[in-house]
Amino acid sequence: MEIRNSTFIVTGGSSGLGAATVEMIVAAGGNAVIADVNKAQGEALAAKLGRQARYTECDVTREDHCKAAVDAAIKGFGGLNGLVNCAGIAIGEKTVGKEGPHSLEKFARVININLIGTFNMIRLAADAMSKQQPNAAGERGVIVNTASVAAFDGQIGQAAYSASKGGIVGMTLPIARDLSRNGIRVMTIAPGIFETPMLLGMPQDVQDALGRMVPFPSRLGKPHEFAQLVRHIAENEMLNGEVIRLDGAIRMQPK
Amino acid sequence: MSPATQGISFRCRLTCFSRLSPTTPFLSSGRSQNEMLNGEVIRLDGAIRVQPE
Repeated sequence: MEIRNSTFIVTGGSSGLGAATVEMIVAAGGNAVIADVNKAQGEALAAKLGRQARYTECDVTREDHCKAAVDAAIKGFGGLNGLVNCAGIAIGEKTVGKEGPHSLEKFARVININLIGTFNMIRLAADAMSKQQPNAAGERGVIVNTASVAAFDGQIGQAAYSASKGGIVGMTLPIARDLSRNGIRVMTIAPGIFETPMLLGMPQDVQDALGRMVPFPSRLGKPHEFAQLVRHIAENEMLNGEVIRLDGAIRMQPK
Repeated sequence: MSPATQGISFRCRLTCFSRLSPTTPFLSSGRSQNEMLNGEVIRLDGAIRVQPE
C-alpha cells in the first residue's frame, strides 16, 4: 500500500514514536489522524503539519473515542487505509516488593491501555476498512502495532508491561488470519530502547549507558527509524502476521 | 493443469493474500536503510504457516 493519498490513524500520535509516524505519513503524501489523550501536543502537531493531519482526543480504552477517530478519518479524509497503534504506558513494579504484592489495579491498568486498548482500536478500524473497496492488489488496509522487546526479554519490575506487550505479540498472527479475508494485513514492531519522551527525560549519563547496551548501533533508536519501518511494512504486501524486533540486536538483561 | 502448476496453486491458496510474491518486496531497500534492524529474522510470507505436507 502506498502511503501517498492513504489515510492512517495513529494512536499515541502526539509524541514519540507516534508523532514520528504521523510526520512520516504526511511527508509521504498521506493523511494522518492523531488519536491521543494529549490534546495540547496533538493539536500543535496537527497545526504544524497542516491539512493532511488532524487531531482527535482518544483514550484507546474507550469505544466512543476510538469510533470518533475512525469517523475523523472517514469524514475528514474520505476513508481509512491504515492504523498504527503507538498508545501505551509503562510502569515498574515488582511482583513482590518492599511494600508488598504488586498492585492489581496498576497491573490491570497497563493491560487495559496497552493490550485491550490496542485491540479496541484494531477491531473498530478493521471494521471500517473492511467496508471499503480494495485497491488493485486486493488490499483494504494495514495495521501496525507497537510491542516491545520486553515482550520477550522482560526485566525485573516489568511483569505488567511485558504481559501487555506479550499479548500484542500473541494476537498479531490470529488477527492477521482473521482479517486476511478482508484484505487487511496486521504487523507488530517490537522496538528496543528508543528516544521516546520517557527516555529523554532521564539524565544524559543514563541515556548514554542505555545506548551502550545495544550491540550495534550502540545508541538509542530514533523515532524516525520506527516510522521508517512502519512505512516499509505499509508498502511491502508480503509482510503479514509477523513481529519484527527493531532493536540493534539488544537482548535485555534481568535488570 | 500440470502437476507443477497444481502445486503452485495449492501453495498460493495457503498464503493469506492468496498469491505468490514477486521478488520485488525481497529486494526492497527499506531494510538496508534502517540501522536499528540487526540480528533479527523477518518472515516475509504473507502470514503463511506451512503444514507438514
